[in-house]
Amino acid sequence: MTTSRTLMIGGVSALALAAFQAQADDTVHVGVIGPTSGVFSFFGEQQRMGVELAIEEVGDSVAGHNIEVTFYDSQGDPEVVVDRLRAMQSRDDVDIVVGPVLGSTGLAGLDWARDSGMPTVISYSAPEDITMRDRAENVVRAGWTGAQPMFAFGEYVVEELGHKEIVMVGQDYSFPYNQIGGFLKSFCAAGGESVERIWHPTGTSDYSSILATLPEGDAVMYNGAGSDGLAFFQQYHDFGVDQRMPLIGGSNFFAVGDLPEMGDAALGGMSALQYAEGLETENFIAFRDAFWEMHGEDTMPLAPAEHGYVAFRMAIDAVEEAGSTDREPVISALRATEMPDAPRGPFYLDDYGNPVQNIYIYEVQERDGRLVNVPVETYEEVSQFGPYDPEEYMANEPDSRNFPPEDCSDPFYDEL
Amino acid sequence: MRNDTPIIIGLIAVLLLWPLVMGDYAVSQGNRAMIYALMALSFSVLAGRLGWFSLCQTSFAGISGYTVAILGVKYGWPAGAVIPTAILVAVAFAVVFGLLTVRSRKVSFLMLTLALGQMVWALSFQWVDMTGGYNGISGIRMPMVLGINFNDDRIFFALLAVVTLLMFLGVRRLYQSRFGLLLLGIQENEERMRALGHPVYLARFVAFVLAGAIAAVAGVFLVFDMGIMSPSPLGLDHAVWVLTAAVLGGYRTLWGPALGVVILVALEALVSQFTDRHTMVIGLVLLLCILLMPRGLAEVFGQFRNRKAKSATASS
Amino acid sequence: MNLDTFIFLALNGLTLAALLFIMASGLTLAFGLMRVVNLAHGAFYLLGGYIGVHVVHATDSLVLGVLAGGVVAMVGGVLMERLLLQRVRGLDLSEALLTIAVGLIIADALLVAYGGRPISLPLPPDLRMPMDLGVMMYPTFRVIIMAVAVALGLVLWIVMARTRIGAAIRAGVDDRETAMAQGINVPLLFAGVFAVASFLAGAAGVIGTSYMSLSQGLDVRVLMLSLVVIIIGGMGSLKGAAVGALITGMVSSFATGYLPQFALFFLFLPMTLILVFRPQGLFGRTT
Repeated sequence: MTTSRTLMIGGVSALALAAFQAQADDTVHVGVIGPTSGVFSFFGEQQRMGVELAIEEVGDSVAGHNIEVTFYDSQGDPEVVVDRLRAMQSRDDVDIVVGPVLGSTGLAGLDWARDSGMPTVISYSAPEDITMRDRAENVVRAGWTGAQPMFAFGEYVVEELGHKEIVMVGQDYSFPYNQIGGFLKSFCAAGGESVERIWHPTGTSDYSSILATLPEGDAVMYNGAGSDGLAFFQQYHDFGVDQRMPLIGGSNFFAVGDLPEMGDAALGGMSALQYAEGLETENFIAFRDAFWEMHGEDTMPLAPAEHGYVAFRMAIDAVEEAGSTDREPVISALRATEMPDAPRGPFYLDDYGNPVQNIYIYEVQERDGRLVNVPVETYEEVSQFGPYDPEEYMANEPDSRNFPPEDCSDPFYDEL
Repeated sequence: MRNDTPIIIGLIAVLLLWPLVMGDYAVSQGNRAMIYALMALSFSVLAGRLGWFSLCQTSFAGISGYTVAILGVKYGWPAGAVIPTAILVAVAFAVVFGLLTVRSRKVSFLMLTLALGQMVWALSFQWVDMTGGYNGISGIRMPMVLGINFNDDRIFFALLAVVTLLMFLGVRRLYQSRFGLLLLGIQENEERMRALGHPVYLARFVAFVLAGAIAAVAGVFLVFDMGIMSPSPLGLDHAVWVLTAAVLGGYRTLWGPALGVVILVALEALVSQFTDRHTMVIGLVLLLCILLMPRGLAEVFGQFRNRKAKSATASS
Repeated sequence: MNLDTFIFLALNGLTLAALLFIMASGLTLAFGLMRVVNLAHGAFYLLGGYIGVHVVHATDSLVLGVLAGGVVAMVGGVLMERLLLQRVRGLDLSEALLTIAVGLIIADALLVAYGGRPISLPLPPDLRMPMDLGVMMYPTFRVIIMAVAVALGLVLWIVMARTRIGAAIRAGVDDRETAMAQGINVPLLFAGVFAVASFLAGAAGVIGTSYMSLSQGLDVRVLMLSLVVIIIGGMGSLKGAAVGALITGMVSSFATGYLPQFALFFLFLPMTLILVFRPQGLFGRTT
């Protein structure tokens, strides 16, 4: 009996909540989802801060609708994401979703959005199939695919840095596969010779033995981030491998907040991303200063923050364009997004819903007493397919542990 | 065991009414609650009958979930073949883990199951070719059977409710059977049971495998409910969540674990509107339960009812 | 395999083994004495690490940092033992569950206090410099970690083998009831061992951060590693913790060197083999 009574009480309170949160029709309710707790909370916090800035700039209303925003914690867990998205749809009457942020949660969000039809602007989450092989009409992306910045970096590493044999150490899962996949394609096309891939389990903290057996090459690339990346960086220098081979990074290596912990040894480190906090364009400075005014100068706005900011503005712009919160016009407005004044630089969405944008090759430099990623080269209008034809690109198998081939003389590269 | 017919009738009534009366989100919450109630039941069979606190029951759910995802999505097997295979695979793991742990007791058992559960978790995100690693496998859908779309939350609810109820009633039978009494006897005095000629290890092993099978069924529903399988349900936090629910509700009773899950799900839905500190909330709930009512709510209510009944007979 | 690589890998394995021994030795003793396993051990590692790194930043003293990390974790451990575990004394499962709850709370509180970004320990450059070991050059601080573990092992061994406290602990591990009957205050002894174990977890948090980064989620990994070590060595055995740490460290180092993809699998392999062939662990006694 007790069980049933509790169920009843739970039910009644759920009903009450639903009634309380029912929205009048003249509101546009945006649900923002990201990991604000748990291991990946840095990304979620950055997104939240970016969105808060966008909320302040956009104001209270758009197209005659009051703007209401609710933040949801994904806990970095796909199961929680699905649950929160269901709550948005049927409990909280959310009109547009901004997020999720991480790879796995992005795929969970896509999977759910396809069935529900909810207009969704995915922010930092980078699995390429979200806007490629598994794309859905109602899902667009404000961020990037793993391969996208690496198309530019592969070319740059050969042509400007002159490295032809790369040894890559990376976290063993699909995002790093995709990064090195994009890298290899342009690296080989530009005259590179080979990339040897060494994969380690995510969550490895001791790299001494990988470093002990590291093959020789022109440079080493660490393809990963977070605590793994920081530990690798430190041990790389502890064992003096930096004296033998320079260290370059995958897109997240220097870009997502680990620079202060890496310290001066990171100076000169290079990688590529569609964002760099050392940009000096007018739009970027305005964004950064506003961000600092709101959140304090100690917090540098990094890519997840800017992507959250941009994703939220895309959502609001789409409602303005559509003049209502009806799904169909909002979705077509979203798909037609052009943002000439984004902090990262101008971009527009391709036919598949992913930004075509600048890619910055950046170098870690010191500015005003802190380490910053400063762009040294810009590749304009890079799409998620790089220089390749979309349909041909998608006909290839997705990047994996051993694909594309590590040797540039492989016939695969002649046919590209 | 006291007469719990009123509980069963009440439950059936609630399960019948829930999808008819409640909104979509409440129905999907109901689905999650039932899935986790099955996992908590699986935990409680071991904890309540044998004093074995397991931190790898969610791993069995995860294993059957992954099997569904891998065979269904990657190899395109039909659901009719996928589901029994998934349960068999998870049970096979339960057999192996049971053999590895059957001689351990109490805290050693807890530590072993923690380590084994972590091993499965590591496997799930490490075996990228098979499991998709961190990103998992998405696009898992229930099949259409006889024109019925089981992906509809309410139809899924009906199916899950029937299965959940049957599993609980099955465990109820088990608790009342001689085998159930033997398990209790082993918990109380293992040496005595052995002296009486009962196969102690075999009984414990069988219970372990049975509990694994219950979790395996939960895993099948879990993966169809989420539509995606990733390593997160195999993590330690999920195992601790299930343990907390069972302790809160009362793992020594039949319905306690379900009660605990319902309360935790409702509590989380409530708390998540105000704060992101859900981990701390779970920690606090577990802490308070152990200190204040180690036998859980169900037994607190049970004692309350007994006392009322007694005072009623006394006054008449 | 050439000799240099072999020595390099062996040294790496020894460093990891040293750290594992520091983590696991106290844990296994506390377990042997009272059948209490502190599942908040990983959270104490995290707590000690964060506090210690903070102190190193503030004072520029590594020794102070290690001590601070250890002491804070020790205070946490003592508080937990006095305020919580004592209330359910004798119910060893309840005690274990309480430590799980405390671990969750500590880890989440640390997330609030320090955020989700990984941090590293600022070491003096002298310590990062390689040192000539005769066979090869190896970073100085890693040599120090090994030395600390050996010293710790020696101290623990001398205390256990040569002092009255050690004799009392051994008696308590062997047979708690008899030891109590002989007038040994086992609960007090346990409180002491528990405090030392917590101190070691916190200190390990600072020491480990010298080369691994410190971040959320590490608490579970540290706990898991410690459990693997003491399951291999036998729960309650100091010798077992040393041998378990050596096996785990070496296997992990060589596996990471030659088959990095399967490093995790090799981490669990020795434990599984031990469970099959010698469930009580190498130096454990059957209960």
